[in-house]
Amino acid sequence: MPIMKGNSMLKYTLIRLRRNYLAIIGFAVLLVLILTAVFAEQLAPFGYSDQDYMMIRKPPSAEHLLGTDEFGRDVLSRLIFGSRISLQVGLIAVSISLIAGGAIGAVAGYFGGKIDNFLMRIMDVQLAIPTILLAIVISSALGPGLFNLMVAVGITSIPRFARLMRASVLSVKNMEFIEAARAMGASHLRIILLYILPNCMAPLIVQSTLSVANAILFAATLSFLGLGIQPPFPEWGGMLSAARPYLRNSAYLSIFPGLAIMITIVSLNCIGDGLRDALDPKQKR
Amino acid sequence: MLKYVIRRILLLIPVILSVMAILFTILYFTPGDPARIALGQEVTADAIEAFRAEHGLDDPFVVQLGRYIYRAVFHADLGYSYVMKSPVSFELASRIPVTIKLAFWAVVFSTIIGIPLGIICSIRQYSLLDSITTLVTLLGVSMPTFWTGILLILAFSVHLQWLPSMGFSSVSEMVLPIVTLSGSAIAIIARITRSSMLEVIRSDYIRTARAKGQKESVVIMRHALPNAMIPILTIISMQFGMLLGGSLITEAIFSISGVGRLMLEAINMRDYPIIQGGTLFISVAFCLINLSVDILYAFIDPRIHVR
Repeated sequence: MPIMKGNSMLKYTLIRLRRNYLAIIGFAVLLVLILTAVFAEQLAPFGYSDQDYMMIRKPPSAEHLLGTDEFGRDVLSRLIFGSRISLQVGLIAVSISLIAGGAIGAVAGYFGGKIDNFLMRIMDVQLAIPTILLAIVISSALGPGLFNLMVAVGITSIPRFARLMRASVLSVKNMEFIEAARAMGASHLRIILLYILPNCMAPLIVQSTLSVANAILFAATLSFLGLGIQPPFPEWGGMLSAARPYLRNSAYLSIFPGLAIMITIVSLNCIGDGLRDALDPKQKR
Repeated sequence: MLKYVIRRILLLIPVILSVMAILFTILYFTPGDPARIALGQEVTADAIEAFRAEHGLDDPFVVQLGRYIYRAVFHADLGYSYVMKSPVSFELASRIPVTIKLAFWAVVFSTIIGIPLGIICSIRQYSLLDSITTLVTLLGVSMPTFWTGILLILAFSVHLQWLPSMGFSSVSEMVLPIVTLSGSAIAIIARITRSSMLEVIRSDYIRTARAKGQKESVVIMRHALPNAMIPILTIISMQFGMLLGGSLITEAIFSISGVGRLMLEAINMRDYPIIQGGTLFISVAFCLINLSVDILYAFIDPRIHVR
């Protein structure tokens, strides 16, 4: 029974995952981040664009726990609202690359031959351009904005997902159960979605987690370079970029946003590494 | 062997041509009229027309694309920067040495730190040093390059005032950018070296080498390391591409006038030919590095070119 098997595999994965304390910490941190993003309005002591001209670049105090920026805005509140943008970009950008890359890889691996050759050569060409550069070129072509940022970041990791999906498809497509499905008259789409895809989930989940981390990093980098989200919206990378002129006198402005980025990325990387070890026990640590 | 090398070089040609086509296409369909960018907003429609005709901007897309590739391949002409009023290849040529110097030293630095670190961790697995290194490399791969740079400037330029925070001409100026750029590469190289070495150390022939009474240092350096090198080399060559891309950010932070900073200025000015040329240069450099590493493999591991 497929359902029984799914359950037990999930259970074993969870058991293995529980032994990995780094992954558990990662999950806990991510949960806190998600809750922060969801309840940003309730949690933030101030609005992200509330300006107080009496409180310009004041260091951390009881009222403003992480200080205020060059417009007298509360840094903590901006970081809290910024978590929304980062998580959103991470999630949606990776969805874009997962769906597009997954589809390309599935078609290439399943049909093989000329289609495979054609699609994978395109992916090779894309891989020839360093990813961060491609993201920069695409986002400078699309212009600034949240959605454009997601698209630019999403496109860059399509080849990685395509290659992964193709490899997984190739490893199962000649097995008997696929042949059985074909003999029962299942369409190509049905075979790919219902029979092949469930068998490719493990590497895709691991890659997605690590890609979310990467996407958040890229989004912050692009915003730092002035290509992503424009002020007054509180993007962590953008906040770092705005803090640069005040490095000498208000160093805290350059420290907290970077810390927020790093904590997010570390937790996602821990989860990704943990999932990889849990889902693939054959692999040595 | 020679056949393998030639085949690999020939395979590179369509890839580079396609990269050119893709970059040209992306920026061709980007909103913004090059004529307007070059001439400014306050010119007559006639002047715009004349400019478009002179630079062949009215030709169909395919003709423009073909002309771009033809000129780039046969005349090393990457177009003309309307903003800087000079040929793209000229602008790039003056900036390329700096970027290559930065990326090269970053690769050297991350290799000489990363590989020994990974080896030590694999020999002393689960020791304190290993745990600390694992934690530090985890932080290393998770730090955004620009934040590493800012923190280093804060510590070494603002507070300690040991090193300058700008430029790239003297040795003291080169330290911070190189360390910034190497940060995540060191972490990744150390990680791969550790796991690759661990795998090799467990194999039978290492036990044999130890059993026959070989000194531990010889076992590690002469027997284990060469076999662990293939994944390490792969990751180093991949890092080279990452570093060329990352040099863009490093150059921005430390005000180094290399290709990356040229491109960032071009992005702000919407100077597309420069963006195109800069990206092309970095991609080609990346491809050539990968190619040389692949050829190097074939020398190290004779099994490869047979396939």
